[in-house]
Amino acid sequence: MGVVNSVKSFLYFWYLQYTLNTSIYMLEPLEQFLFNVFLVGFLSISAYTFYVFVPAHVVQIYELIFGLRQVPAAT
Amino acid sequence: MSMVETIYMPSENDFRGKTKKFNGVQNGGKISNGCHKKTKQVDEETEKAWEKDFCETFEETPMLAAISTYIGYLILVAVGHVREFLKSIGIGVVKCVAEPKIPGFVPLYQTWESFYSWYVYRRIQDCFCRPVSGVPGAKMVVIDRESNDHRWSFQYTGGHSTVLNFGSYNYLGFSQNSGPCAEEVEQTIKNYGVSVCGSRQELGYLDLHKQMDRLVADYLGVEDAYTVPMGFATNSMNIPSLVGKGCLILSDELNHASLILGCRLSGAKIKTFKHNCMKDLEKNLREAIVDKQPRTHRPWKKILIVVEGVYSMEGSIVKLPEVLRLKKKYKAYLYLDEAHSIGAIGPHGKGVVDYFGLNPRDVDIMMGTFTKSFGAVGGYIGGSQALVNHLRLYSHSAIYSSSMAPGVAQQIVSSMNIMLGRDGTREGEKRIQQLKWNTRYFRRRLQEMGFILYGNKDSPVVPLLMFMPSKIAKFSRESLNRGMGVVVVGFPATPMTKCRARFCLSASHTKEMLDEALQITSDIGDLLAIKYSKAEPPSYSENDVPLVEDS
Repeated sequence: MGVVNSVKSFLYFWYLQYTLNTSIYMLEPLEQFLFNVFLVGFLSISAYTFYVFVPAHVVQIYELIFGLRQVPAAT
Repeated sequence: MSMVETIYMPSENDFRGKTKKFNGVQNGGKISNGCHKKTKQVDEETEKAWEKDFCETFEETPMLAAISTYIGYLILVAVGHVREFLKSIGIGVVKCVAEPKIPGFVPLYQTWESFYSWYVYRRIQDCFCRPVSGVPGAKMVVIDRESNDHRWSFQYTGGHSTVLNFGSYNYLGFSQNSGPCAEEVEQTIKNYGVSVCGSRQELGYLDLHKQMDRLVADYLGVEDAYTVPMGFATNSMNIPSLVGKGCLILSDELNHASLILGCRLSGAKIKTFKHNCMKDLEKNLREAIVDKQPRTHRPWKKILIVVEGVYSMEGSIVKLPEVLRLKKKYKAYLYLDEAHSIGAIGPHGKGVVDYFGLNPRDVDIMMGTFTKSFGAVGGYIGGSQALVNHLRLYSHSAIYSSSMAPGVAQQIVSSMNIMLGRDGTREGEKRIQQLKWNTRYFRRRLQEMGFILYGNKDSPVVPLLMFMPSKIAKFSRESLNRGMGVVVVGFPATPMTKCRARFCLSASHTKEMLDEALQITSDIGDLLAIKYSKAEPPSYSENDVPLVEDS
């Protein structure tokens, strides 16, 4: 029970810091919910884009710099 | 690296001998026969002696707090615009005034002020304008209210809470409904009635007013004084009768609205100088004297420097010895507004002139109010006999406004008699010393906890910086729940990114009340993470303030 309480107060403290520092604390509950949904959606789409494209780009740049291939033609 | 930007904080080097300063060269490399240098040194030393005890800090804003504040305002403004758009297409309830779109008419509500008050201020409106009842002494009764429509409107729940009062201007603790002052006021109301029913020049000048004017003059140490029933009107209605067109007013950039209004009404040219910055003031004075009036290049008729004793939003004290030196050098006049400093600072409670140990006759116009320290209402202007004679004839408030109510005048007379010790007790001295002790103790403890405080170590107004509007809202609500009432201030009264809570200390606060308040503040500070300060611990303490014991 003590561990659950301390985890809950830890999460409450950090959620409070997030809402205070972004001034979401002042918005109405519906607005808070929509803003959180928007933020989570934006972050998840960014994460997905990162996951799909960034490794391929990194490999391309590595091979370009270290000269294992000529400049690739525009596809 | 320290992030503190301190002004005149005494350091070790100030106390070492003045001879070995520049790379070990004696006397700073200057060659003289020794006689002139000695007297000059003595003059400089006595002139700068006040700087050794003058300790003011205005710590820099931490970078993360500034960034969070800007992001927060960005989000609030964006959400506000989205709500405006939704309101225009009919979705969502926004209970502001609906403006019909009539072609050919200028819109009423398009400015930033309306937008801010609907979409930022309104959201935390329950922290401001709280209804209170009863005497606002060391504790006050706040009437509870709640809002069911996101703070567009409020309903009373029927309950009330008694909280510690750190919001009222009650520096000497005269805000009481019992005690010698209240009894004398009751007797006076029985003798004179409640109102004077006339202006000062038309049968409104009672013997009580004459006694009060004489007492104020004795208290300040000036030749004569003139009182006005409203503190704001003392500034706004009397400055126009002192300066006019062809005069120049140099006013501090953080002056109160009443001073700004009075200066504008007078018709004189106004120039502001940086807050409490004597170099900027000197530069402006020199430019004014050299360049003279803008187009005609005639010399200014009068140059008036307008400063306040204690600035209530910053907690800073004006550098009066320096201002007086500049005033005498450049032959300007000085208007000193001691609204928050009379009674609150100085070894005898006589204001900022007393604090620095200067001669009150040096200040041309000493203005102050009775609202903060004397538990009354109204203001005064003190100065030479010629000045007061002129004001009695030409001031707007003498001609047009009703004179001070007898009960209020008696409150002023009673409280000033207590402060001067004329009632035979040491009550006045006790209150002054208690306030001083409270100020030092409270400020020291808060700075040791790690909060950013602004202002001088001796000022009873304590601004605690929180930078973000959401944090001041949370602070205000939490502290009310835990039993402490403070005033929080946000954008229009302070710069946009420097929102703060302001504690007003009082001589009626006991050490137990202060400790309780400090504990509450520390708990909320941990919850909100507002202990931003990276400065060294304070070098002052309350131990050098002797308290007067009850006999």
